[in-house]
Amino acid sequence: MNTTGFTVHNTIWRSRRLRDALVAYAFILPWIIGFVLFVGGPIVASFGLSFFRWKMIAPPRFYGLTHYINMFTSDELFRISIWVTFKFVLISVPIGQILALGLALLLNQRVVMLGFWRSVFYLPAVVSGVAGSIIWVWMYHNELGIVNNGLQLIGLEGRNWLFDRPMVLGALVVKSLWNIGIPMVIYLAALQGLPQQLYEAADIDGAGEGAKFFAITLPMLSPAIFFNVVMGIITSVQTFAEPYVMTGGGPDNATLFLGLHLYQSAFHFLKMGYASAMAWIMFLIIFGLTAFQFRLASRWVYYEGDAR
Amino acid sequence: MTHREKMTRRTFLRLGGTVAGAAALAACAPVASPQDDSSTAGASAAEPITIRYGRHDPGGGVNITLDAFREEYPDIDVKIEQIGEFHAKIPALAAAGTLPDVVRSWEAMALDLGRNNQFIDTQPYVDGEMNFNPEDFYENWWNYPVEEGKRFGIPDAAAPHVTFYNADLFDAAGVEYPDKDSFTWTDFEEKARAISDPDNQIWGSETIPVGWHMFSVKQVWQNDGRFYSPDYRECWLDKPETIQAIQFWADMLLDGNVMPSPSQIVGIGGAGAAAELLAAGKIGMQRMGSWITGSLVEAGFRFNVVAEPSQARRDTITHGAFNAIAATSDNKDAAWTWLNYNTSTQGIYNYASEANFPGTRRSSNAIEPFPWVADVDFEVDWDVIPEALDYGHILPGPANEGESLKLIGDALEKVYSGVAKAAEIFPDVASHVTDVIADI
Repeated sequence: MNTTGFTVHNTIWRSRRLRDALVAYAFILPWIIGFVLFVGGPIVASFGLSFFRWKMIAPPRFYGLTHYINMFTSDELFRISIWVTFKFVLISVPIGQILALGLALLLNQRVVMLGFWRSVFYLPAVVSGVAGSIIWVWMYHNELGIVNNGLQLIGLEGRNWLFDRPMVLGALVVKSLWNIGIPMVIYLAALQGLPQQLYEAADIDGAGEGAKFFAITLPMLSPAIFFNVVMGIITSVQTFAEPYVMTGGGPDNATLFLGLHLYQSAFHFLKMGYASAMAWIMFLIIFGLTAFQFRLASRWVYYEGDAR
Repeated sequence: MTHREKMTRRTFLRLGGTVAGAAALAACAPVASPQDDSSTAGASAAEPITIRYGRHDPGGGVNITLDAFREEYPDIDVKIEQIGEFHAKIPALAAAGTLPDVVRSWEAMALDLGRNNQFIDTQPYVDGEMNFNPEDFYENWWNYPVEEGKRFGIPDAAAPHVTFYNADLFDAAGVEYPDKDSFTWTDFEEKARAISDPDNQIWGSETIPVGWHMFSVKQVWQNDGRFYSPDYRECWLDKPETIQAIQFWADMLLDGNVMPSPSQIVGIGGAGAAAELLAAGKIGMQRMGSWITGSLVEAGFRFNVVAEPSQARRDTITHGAFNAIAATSDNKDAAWTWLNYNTSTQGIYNYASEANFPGTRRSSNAIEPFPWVADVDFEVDWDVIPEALDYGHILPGPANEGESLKLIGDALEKVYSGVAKAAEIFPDVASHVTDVIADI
């Protein structure tokens, strides 16, 4: 091919690439517009607002870092909400992951009506947080609820779960376990991709079921566990619908999650700037926890093909 | 057969891009508000001015007023907008500058929107009406939405709290009925104790709805105390009258022999079931808003009504709302025409009739049939209900009410659950609340 031919070919190739890129951008343009208007824009705006005092019904006033300072020095409810959220994450994430993995192991066996059971355990995950919370309000109902009536059948006394200070956070943890269908499906997919030759080799070596689980299954599942734990912590820190619908943050602020306190600050107290600052602190908490997990991941997460 | 040209990818993309761009521009364009419509009204005399009337409920009896208004003012078209999630959406509309021309908002919200210049001062309009008689309104209601000489609304109907009692339960316990002319906290406690039989789940009084902390406001008033100073700049939760009042009722609540305690009420339907419990003969007295009359009549038992028990003075809550004109309205004169019509003697009566409330105008309450009177075959002292407007008060309206109520509510919850005494925690809470409400 002579030089002219090469140049023409190169120009055509470039214009084709440009056209392909334009076509691609044209197709994702509606999403980009939506993202900028409804996600990216508000994120940037909330950062700016966090330095203003804005009641919505009056013009914003510059406040500097006052919101951030007040949050840590004078807002008792912020301290409570951090503690409530921390406790919830600490309890619900490990229990949820263990149960999800357990269920996935069971549903990875050859059992009758396997498809049905998988659907049943996944089904609650497709129910919206609000609808699910309303169902659980009824399940926890003192007189009519299935929980207390079930306990009564086995001779145990029920509680007023959502109004009992020592019990209410536990009640919300149990509700959160209703949604383990999502991590369960991820574990299930990971289990089905495990290389069988490892188990065959272990069988030849005479390994028992327990040894195979701890020496093969868990290490091979570690990327899925890592992903689920990261996602579990993020969603738990952001918990909102359950306390909003089921308890309103009570009794006595026992379920005042960070997300709920943020919402109340914005829409009940009309402290939009303060709520924005709180949202950024929430982001930093999530970012910090996630970064911490990524740092620890190199010690326990095994990726096939990685040099260890 | 028609020949259809094949669309090229370029044509398709160009067309798609144009449509998407147009849609995005249309979405970004400011919403055409009714005010915009009205600005063209001058160009075409036939086009009526549109007034948006925002309220939290569908309006009920207001539609009767609206029909009459349309006949009298065909050049003004009033559209009622029912706004759900009122407490969140009204500030959002205010922030966007799209508040309805006339807004019907609750006590503290009306004052706060007014203070922040979202509502205009309607006093000049009142002064401009030849036949407007402010004295027709109950004094507390007329004076409430006024700050620094500016009037941020005109009231319509009001629902006062009074004491309903189950006459059959009083008879069964051999207890005298409450005295209409003199009913004190001491009388209340004595009668309630005499009726109470907790073993059989019968109590003399309904419980205190702990979560509904504004219920406590009236108890404080009755003891001559206040939640806030008259200018709403200071929290008076730490005053002896306030502490004494809350502790008195908390002690009765926790006692379990006057009203169901928080643990006792759990097994019998919760605080929200008070009207049902009264009708079922499980509680003797219920201090509540006059809106429960309908359910009591439906239940078909013999009841009567007296004022709330008094201590240092007779007082009660009277719930209601105010109609105000948004500062962003382009048609303030037309908005006033509708507002004034809707809060006229007949306008208030129309709404009150549907809601079974008395009106905030005395002249509305003179029209028969009286909205608060129900058709029963036993004697009821119905006059007690409108009389409450003479001495009752409207819920306080400090700035930053939401946050201050959260702090007060949390403190009340501790006292009512027996975790703390009012005297121990109220001084700290009062100072904290003062900081919040003074931060205007």
